[in-house]
Amino acid sequence: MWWKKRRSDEDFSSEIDAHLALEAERLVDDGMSPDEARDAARRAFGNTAKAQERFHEANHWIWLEQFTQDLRYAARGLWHSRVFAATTVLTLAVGLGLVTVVFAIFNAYVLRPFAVRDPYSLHRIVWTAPDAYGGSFRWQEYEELRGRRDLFGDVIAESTRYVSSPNGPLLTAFVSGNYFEALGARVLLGRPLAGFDAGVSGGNPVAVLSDEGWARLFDRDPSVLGRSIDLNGERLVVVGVMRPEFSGLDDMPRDLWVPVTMSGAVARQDLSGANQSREMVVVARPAAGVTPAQVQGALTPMMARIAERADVRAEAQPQPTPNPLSFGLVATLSPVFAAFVLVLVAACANVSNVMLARANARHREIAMRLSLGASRGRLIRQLLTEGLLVALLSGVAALALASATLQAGTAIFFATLPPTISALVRVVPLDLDGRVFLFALIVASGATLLFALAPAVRATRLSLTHALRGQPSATTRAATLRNGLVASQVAVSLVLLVGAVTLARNGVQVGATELGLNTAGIISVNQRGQEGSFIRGAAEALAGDPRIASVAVTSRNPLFGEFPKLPVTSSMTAGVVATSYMFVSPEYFPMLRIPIVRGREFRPEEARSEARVGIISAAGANALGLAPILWVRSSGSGSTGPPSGTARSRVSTDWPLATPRSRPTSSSSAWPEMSSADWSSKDGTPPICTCRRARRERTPARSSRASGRSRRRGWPRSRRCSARPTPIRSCSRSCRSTRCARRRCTRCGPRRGSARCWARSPWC
Amino acid sequence: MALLQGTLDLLILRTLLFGPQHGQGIARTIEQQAEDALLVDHGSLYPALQRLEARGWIGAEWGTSENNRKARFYTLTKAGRKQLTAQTQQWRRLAAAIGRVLGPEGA
Repeated sequence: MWWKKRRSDEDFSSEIDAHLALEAERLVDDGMSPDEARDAARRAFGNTAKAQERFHEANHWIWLEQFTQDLRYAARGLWHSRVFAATTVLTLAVGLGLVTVVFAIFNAYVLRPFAVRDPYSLHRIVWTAPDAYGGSFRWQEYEELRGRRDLFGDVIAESTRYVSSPNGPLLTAFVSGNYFEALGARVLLGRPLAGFDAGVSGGNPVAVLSDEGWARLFDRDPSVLGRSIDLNGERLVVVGVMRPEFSGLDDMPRDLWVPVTMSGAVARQDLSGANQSREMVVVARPAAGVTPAQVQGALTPMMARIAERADVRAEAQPQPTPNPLSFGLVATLSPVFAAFVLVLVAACANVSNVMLARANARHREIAMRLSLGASRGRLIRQLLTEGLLVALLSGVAALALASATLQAGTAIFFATLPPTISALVRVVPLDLDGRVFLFALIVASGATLLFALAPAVRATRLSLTHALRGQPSATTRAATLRNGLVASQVAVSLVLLVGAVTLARNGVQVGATELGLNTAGIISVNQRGQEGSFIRGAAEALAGDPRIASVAVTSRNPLFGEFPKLPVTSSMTAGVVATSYMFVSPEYFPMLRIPIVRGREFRPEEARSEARVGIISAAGANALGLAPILWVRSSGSGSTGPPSGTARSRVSTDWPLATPRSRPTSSSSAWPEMSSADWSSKDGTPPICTCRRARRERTPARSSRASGRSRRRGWPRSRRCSARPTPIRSCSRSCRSTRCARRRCTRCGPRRGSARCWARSPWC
Repeated sequence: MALLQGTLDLLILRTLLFGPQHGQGIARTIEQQAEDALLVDHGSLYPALQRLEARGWIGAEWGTSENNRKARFYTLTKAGRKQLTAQTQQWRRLAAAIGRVLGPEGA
């Protein structure tokens, strides 16, 4: 038993000595001479050293003893070959460090639970339908949810938005009075918000700062309590500062929390007052014994009422971390993980190769130890210990590297963003916590097996006779392993390099993509939750300002987010095509320099008279099967019915332009989001407009030739048309030869010899 | 004849039933009682004693032998006594069974 005093090796030896003496004495008594008797006793006993060894091994934690021996030996060995040690440790540290960085980010956004009481019981209440989703509620709906004491223990609500302040926009959460009490988040200074803060309409002008907000506004001044901050012209008193661990219930750290009753004064939108909009996010803890499934069943009727449709399901989504771990999330992120794991694998292969070379250089030593009776397993263990020491040192270096990389990365990230955007971006604190340390430890140990096992096994498999004579042994197999390692390293590096170059090129290309609209010098002003009349007035007021060249009003920012869709039918397509649309004022097309390919722009009088006119994008026309009529010469002849529905010009699709022949199948109720003053209808003559994406200027001579030809053949005028009527055949190699009769490359459209012709092969 | 594997422990315990004894004495007693038909390997006797001691079946103490030599004396503990009974029964059953399988002598 472990608390018993352990018997020493010496004690055991003296017992053996006593035995030998007693045995010899007995033999002397039997009539032997003392010398003979001593020898006979020894013979009868056998190998005393072996018995002592067995005693020692049975009596000690032999593996621990050997491990510390190996560790000491490995440390001495590494100290003697410092260059080798530095190379391997640094190589591995880079690989481990990168993986640790990725894990630290993953940890901060996915794994680390909120610093609140029992984060795993938090559920966000939302509704889902087959094609829709909603997670925002009116205040009164929140109060109804809160009243369900049968379902929920605590129910909290918040609505978060940027509010302007003299220190730039501040991410402000308007929260229900029970927010902090229900969450159990802890304050660093002062007090959290409480029920009485949100008790009266008009509110208690108080705020609680997050660590980030405290740093941003007061530079972490400890005497912040009682001081006031200016939020959209409203003065709020700071009553508390939260601890850095808690920064809100998602991955956008809040700057401050304000009672919801202050929203009218601070955000000019009274969330809990008379005219409530759906802005509150609701998070609840199911009551004891209530399962999320029960909550979902019980809330579904209410959600159906809120969503005003029948096919709605309530959902209580677990929300213990900013982005709860799910299969989909891991699947999405796995390419990123794979790339970084490949870096680690490449580093391991590299280190493995260096260790193999070192083991080969030490083969005499290894052969000597083998011939002195060391077992092969024991030697492999020793070499693995050496690897483990390297991995541990690398792990420590990797953690330092990861910490520095995260800090530098965050700084560079903010420094390279435009100031207007960096003022809005918030990043979750990327600390190295216990989970990251554990991860680094596990990965470092795993890496040891990856890089040290093969060399250890290989190095101890040698022919003693050859090795002791100084001849290298097992050369071919070792060489195969080394070659394999180098090959795998090159392969992995190549994969990474190709991936990196592709991504970089993609980035450049996305940046250089012609969007079909010119956004230079354009400022977008977004107004939410306001009436159309306000926008009309605002637009007119802005247009009157001499510093502003022109003002256009749209229902959406172009190319931003998902557009609402309408079912549209046309005579050319069988079914209904879901078509994105937006409302724009007549100034929109000239202002963004979106060229109209066929037809004309909107006229101001059409905007005023609510004419039923629309402009369709080339992509939209294509989707509706209207491409063929684009090339009809006269602009009016292609269209018969009243056109309606504007579509935006799309990035991804090329050309043809369309004269629309479609009408919305839905009734006028499909247009409820109209917030600009310019779309509408009466009867109106149907003007046909087609817009074309801006293209690079062509040289006049070429342009006329090309467009002339394309017109003759019924091809689009653009040279990059993907909707050519001719079938695509593979590019003929001889198309550029002087004997070739074909004047045009059939695959790519452009004239032979042009920069875009794919057929520029040496054969031509 | 060498000892069957695993029988040394049983014989040691049995020998100690008659009182404290040192290692050499144990080996000697076993050989005498088996009328020199069994040969105890002295090299494996001491690790075996150590193993039994670690299990708590025997206790040990340094003492002086009859001819005034220092020796380590082993005594049977209570647990050892129980173990001896169990192992003896087990051995008898085993021996009887093997005997039945082999049939009467001379067959």
